[in-house]
Amino acid sequence: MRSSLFFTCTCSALLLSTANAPAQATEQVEVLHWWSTGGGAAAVATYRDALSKNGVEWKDIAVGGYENARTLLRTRLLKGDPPAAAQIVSNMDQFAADKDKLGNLDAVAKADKWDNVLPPAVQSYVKMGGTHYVAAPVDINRLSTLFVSGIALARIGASAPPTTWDELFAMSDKAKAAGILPYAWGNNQVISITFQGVAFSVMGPEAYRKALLEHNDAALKGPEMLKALETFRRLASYADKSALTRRWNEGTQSMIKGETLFQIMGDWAKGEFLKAGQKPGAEFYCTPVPGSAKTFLFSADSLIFFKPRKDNPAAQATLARTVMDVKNQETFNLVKGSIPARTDADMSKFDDCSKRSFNDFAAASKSGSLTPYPTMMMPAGRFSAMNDVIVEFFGHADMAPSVAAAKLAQALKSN
Amino acid sequence: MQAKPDASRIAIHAALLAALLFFLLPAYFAVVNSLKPLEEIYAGNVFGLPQHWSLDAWAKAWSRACTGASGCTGLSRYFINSVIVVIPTTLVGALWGCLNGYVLAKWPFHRSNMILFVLMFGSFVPIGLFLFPLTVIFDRLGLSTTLAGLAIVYIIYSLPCALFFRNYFTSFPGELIKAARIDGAGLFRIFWMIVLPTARPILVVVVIMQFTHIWNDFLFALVLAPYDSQTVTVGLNNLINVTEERAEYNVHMAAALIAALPTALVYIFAGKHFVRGLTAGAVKG
Amino acid sequence: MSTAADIDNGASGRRPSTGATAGRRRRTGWEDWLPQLVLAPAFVVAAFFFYGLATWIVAVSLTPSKGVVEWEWIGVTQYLRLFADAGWWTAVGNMARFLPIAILVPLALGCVLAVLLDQKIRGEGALRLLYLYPLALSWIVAGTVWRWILAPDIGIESMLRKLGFPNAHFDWIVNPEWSIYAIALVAVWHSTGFVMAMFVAGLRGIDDSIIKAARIDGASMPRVYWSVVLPALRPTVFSALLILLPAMIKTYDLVVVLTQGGPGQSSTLPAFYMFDRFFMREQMGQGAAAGSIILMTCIAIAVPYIVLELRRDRHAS
Repeated sequence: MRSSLFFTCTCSALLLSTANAPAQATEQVEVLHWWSTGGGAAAVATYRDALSKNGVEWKDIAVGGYENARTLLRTRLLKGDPPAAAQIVSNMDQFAADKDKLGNLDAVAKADKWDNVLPPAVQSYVKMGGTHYVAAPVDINRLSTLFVSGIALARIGASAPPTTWDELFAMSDKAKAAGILPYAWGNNQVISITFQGVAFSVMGPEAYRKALLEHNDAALKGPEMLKALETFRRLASYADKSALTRRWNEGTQSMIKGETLFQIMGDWAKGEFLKAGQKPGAEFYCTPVPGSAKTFLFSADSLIFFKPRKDNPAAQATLARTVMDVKNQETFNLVKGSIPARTDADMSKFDDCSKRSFNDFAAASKSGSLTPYPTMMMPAGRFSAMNDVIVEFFGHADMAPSVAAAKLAQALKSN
Repeated sequence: MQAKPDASRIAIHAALLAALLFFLLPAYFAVVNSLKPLEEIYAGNVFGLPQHWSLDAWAKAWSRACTGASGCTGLSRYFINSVIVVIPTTLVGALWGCLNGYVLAKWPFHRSNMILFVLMFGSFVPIGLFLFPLTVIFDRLGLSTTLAGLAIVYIIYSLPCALFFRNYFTSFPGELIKAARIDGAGLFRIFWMIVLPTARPILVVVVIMQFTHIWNDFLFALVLAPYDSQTVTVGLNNLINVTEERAEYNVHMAAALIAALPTALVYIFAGKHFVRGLTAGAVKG
Repeated sequence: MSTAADIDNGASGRRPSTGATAGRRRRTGWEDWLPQLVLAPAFVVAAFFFYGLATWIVAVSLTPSKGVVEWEWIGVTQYLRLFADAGWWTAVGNMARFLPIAILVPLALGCVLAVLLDQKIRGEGALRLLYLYPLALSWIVAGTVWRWILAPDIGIESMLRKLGFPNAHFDWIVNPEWSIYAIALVAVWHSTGFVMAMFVAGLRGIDDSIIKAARIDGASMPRVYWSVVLPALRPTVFSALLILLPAMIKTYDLVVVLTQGGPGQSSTLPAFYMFDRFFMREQMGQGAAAGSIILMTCIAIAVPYIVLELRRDRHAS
């Protein structure tokens, strides 16, 4: 026993000391992201192939889970060894203190005319301080999407998705009477996304921005916010007992079977319907949340660039150019199921949901109602504090909307 | 051999069976769901037996699942890295702990209890919070993103296991050691010749504990191991931790069961060493 | 008389001055320091990597650090914020309800199972393995399955209702008053197997002759277990506590996969609060403050107990 012990230890020590990756000959860029599986990983693979055609190797650092990826990024930044680029969908300000560690994409942006093809709202996200490009947006997700189960809709005798909240509630009551779950409630993530979708559509972009993005006190306690909270409360009354144990996709599965009618979710939920063989406009509908037809609540997955230990600006420039190339971005989003961030993208190969989403995206940009999702604009702690209030409001039917609004204001201010 | 009354044997078996049901429930569902096609689970058959039995989820979890964009090769590529790190770490940590525990129990000196306290409170410290300073320290030592660095961290944080050895050895009869010392044996000789062989029960327990803990560690493995040589837990997380993708529950279950296999093997192997009367025989003989 | 006996009795090591070892007095001085030398690496490593870094945490708790550490001293502001947060007190209250269950039930259950397994059961090895495996299963998957089992609409409650108990309730996981007990249930499931393994090891170490002697005196098996075996298992109980206590206090993964702290924040625990603030919410200062409080509480509570146990060890055998 002891000699085999010794043998194992020696072998392992030898293996450990040689277990580092050998040096690479071709130009290489490390890209950190959390598209670790499924459609996301497949989409990233298209970028990787495109990049290798341009002579640079994409070294993939995939980490499951957005928070895990962020922790890894932080540790790498801390020890001075950041990746060449990292996926980001949260606020850029967290890197303001590390400005000297950020890459500058202005040269590429100028040459490829990013200013002309990115909507101003997206530009202000990927530019640090509104001036220098530090990130390249690769996709847009619409967070104000209402999914409707076609089968359930047929069961309550309706033929088209609702366009107003009153219609939605009327249909919900019919559904409830027919034994269908009106709304796909779920865990805290579902509650949070639902609230943002409801608030955005009921308050409208102006009041929403003032209240939740700019933390204006009057807007936070104003009539629009109260109306949003009341609408949310009314929708919450349809929650069944087990809702909190469900992930969003379990709710979507229920819709595919026609057992649940509505779900407000990011447009990624569309993938579930498509994989089940359902067609948009037939077995399911993807439409803007009532009241937000001409507006757009978006999040933009982007790649933020850093100065890695082995600085290779030429390879990074190639990476930036590759992910922003209009054809590459189209392919990426086709595989992933979201829409490109470039307004000049060719949407002919995309499905109807995406086509419509893209049109709304362009229109909203022109009308100035393209609004960023709060996680992109505020520190993680503040957004979590806001969620705490919303989840509490959801769970306590006796909490008055005015009380919730006051708590919201408090949470946003003190975090 | 006394004839035991049937009733008490039945009662014992019944109790063990009831406990077994409680412990097995999640495993049963995990196994059963890993043998179904995904559509069945989504159709609502979460707890029942499969209507169509399929090993596809297992094959996918092992060799086809995507854990990033650098190829979809499932969990297979991660196993070697976990094995390289976890086995030596567990052994070195357990042996070092055994040595420390033995010295603390049988060779006390003026302030030896202080060291005991130091080790004891170490087990309460939430080491996950040390991630950031550890990253910097190991980077400066040139060990960042190496499996060796990760192994060293695991060994360091397995120090508190010395306590279990110390507790075991304090109730350990001292005659053997007395005899050895009279024969002129020193600290190390006694450790090697007497203590180690008879410490098997506690070694087994500590090895089970350490192996499980280190094999299942995620945070340190994520940050301190090289990106090309990640451990199984990190690979598993990549597979399972999805927010915007559909959750392929059957593949997840299969993957988790695969990831748990080495630990289960360790338990089986360790179980062979739960031999009765080991110490009794040594003292008498 | 004999120095070996001195050492076994826990007295501080002294140079042998009598009897059998007198002939070996001419040792080189350093051998006397051998125990200290052997323990020195462990001591140094523990001092730096446990306590040095714990001091770093306390230092961070005195700064306004958010996503990155900012070395600015703001005194106890983070602690004040911590104490003003209802979420923290919920977590603390939950720990008071969770800890006794998560410690006592596995201890009792593990002990009982080990004793039962000790009765020369067929297939004992397989049973032992099956009780242990929860430890091996990844939390993400164990959590998903338990989530399904505990969900009222598809899990145990619905099964009970189908079996003919229309008013059966098992909705702990969605009930703010009971969600922490759902967490405790899964924690017990997870750790009982290991405690059982420890007791099996402990039982194996008990001298057979003592048991035989008691049986010869006419005691029944249960009596023997109660009066002879259980007291002899005291060190095992102490060891099991040494594992359970820190492990349960550091419960984090379980909360993440089962309830995310929900409904609302009703099932949070201090370690979950700490990691959530430190890593997820990027409020490192507050997370560090929570960590410091947890650590100080552990020391305050554990010290008297440990000192007592150690004194007991010294006086025993």
